[in-house]
Amino acid sequence: MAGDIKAHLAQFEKTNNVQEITAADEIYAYESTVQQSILNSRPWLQNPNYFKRCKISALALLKLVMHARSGGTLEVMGMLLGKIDGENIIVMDSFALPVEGTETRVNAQQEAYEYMSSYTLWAKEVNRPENVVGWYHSHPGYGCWLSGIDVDTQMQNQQFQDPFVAIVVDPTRTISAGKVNIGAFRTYPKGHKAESEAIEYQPIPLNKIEDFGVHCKQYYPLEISFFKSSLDKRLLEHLWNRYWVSTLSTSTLLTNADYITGQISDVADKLEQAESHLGRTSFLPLPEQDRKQDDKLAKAAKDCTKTAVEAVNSLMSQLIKERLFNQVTFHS
Amino acid sequence: MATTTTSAATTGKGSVTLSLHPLVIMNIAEHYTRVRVQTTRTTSVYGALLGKIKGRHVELCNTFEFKLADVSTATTRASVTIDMEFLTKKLELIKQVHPDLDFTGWYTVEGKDWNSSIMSSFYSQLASLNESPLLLRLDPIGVSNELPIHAYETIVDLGTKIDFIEISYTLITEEAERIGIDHVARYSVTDGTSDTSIVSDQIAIQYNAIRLLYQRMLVLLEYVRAIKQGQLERNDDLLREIASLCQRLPIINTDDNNNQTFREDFDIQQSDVALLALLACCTQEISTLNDYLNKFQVVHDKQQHSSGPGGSFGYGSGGRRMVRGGAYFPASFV
Repeated sequence: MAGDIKAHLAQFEKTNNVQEITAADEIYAYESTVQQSILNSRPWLQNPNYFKRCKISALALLKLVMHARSGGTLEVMGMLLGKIDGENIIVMDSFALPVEGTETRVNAQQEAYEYMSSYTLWAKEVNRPENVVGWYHSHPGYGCWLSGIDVDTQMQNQQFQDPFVAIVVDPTRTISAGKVNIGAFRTYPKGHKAESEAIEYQPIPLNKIEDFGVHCKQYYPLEISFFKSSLDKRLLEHLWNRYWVSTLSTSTLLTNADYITGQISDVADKLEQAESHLGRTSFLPLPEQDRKQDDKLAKAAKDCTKTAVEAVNSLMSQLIKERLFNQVTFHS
Repeated sequence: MATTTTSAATTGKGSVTLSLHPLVIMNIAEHYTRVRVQTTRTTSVYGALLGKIKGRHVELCNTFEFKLADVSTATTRASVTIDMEFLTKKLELIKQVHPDLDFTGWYTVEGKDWNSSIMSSFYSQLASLNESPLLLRLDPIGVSNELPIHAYETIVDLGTKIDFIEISYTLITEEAERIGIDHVARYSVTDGTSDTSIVSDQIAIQYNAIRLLYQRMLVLLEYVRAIKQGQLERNDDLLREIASLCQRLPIINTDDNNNQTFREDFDIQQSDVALLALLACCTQEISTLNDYLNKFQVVHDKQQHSSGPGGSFGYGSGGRRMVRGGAYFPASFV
């Protein structure tokens, strides 16, 4: 009986040892000739909306989120490595840049350029032939969109280093919502008119909303999806099995107390603004379209609901814990 | 091969405690997948581990690949030499971005029958950077319910022979990492957009965690039952631990009248969130009411200026249609 089991196990391991490359792993292959021909033909020059999707690997996502989180309330930035596949930009890896995070900088400093070139040079030496396909930075607490400076930087990048994608991560909202808050964008060339306002609605703090509004028509979002290899899948399942403890024990109400308070005061400011706006125009029936866009009150209401939903979700987990662990009785 | 495995992997208490970030595991897995897909050879991959050393506790944070000096002999496994110059320069580069990370060891991806002589040669090459580097081994084909990661500490025995003692490790569970991993584990295949509500997603996450807790409780229950029925031997240590676990519950007795501080704070937290929800509802209702008022105003104005300059606002025939609607409108209020 034991012999049978052993034989069976050996058979199983042998078949697994053959290690066919599954379809999921194909995406990790990199053919330099194909890439070179794509770079030579440059189909994106004809169509500014050419790239539609951005695929991010599990590893790259994890690195992005962790780097963004490690910055705390400061913005961080880094570069993305990957390749092009038709209308998809595929991001396989990322690395951080040693730069100070301030919104007023347009370009990375000299040492960042040196770091970047050394890193990519040596990456090729260790069998890592991917090219730089984009850059990322974080917007801690104020959502995934491109500010004026970001739009300028990205337009320059797309002029000189195309194909290039800009990714923005918000680590604070990630933790507060329990879902990764990430966006990938490409800018339109100067003078191009966007067909519609494509950026998905998200609450933006009052002090940034001007910046958002002025530039939101100059870029469009790419559809993001994630991929992982078969080995990654197994490891991730195992990791998840270990993480259930922390899922139960975390309390986002406590970890994000600052953020929630900030959101509430922001909504209060927006409501005050909406009040003055309405006071001015209440007797003029505005044309239908304008009213939808200018209705600050509706937007403030949406923001408020979102914050409340997140807070209620965290409270739900608190109540579950209280019920599970505090209201246990034992019969002697 | 069999003799090397038995001498190389003796488990025991190491002299350091190890904790590792899941990023390390993902990095190693990705390196392995990439090499496998791009070169279609099943070679082992090697790389360096970076981490923070605090006294006797090592925390592994990141990894990067080794550059092997002579790739052709790697397949024959005779000896593998690392390009030390590349390694030192790469370490300097890393220091620029992460100044608190040091070289703490190396990793390999191999199955159960791993060759410790190659590992010993690595050790001698790397000993100049770190006196006691750690070895991390990822098993790509192993079948088990646990994570296929094994960590070893190097012990130099009698000056020449190098032993690898397996040590246990813990996983670091930082919030951002957990969410990232959860996100990728569940959302990888589909596109990011989903139609489920946020609330049901949250509840699903909690449900999964509780389900795992419940399964483990069941195991404990079965164990105690089996002992009671005499099917298993008593293990006093385990029973003592189970008893202490039971005695710790309830963690905070909220019905006890002497200990009301927790209850008060908890109630305050609940009422804060309830207040927030109430305010959100009020704001939403005010916004809806405002919309309604605007629409009513438009209709009401049209009715009053029925023959007038409706066209000047660009409504044209639409305005006349509204006037007819407006005539019926006040009737509904009566």
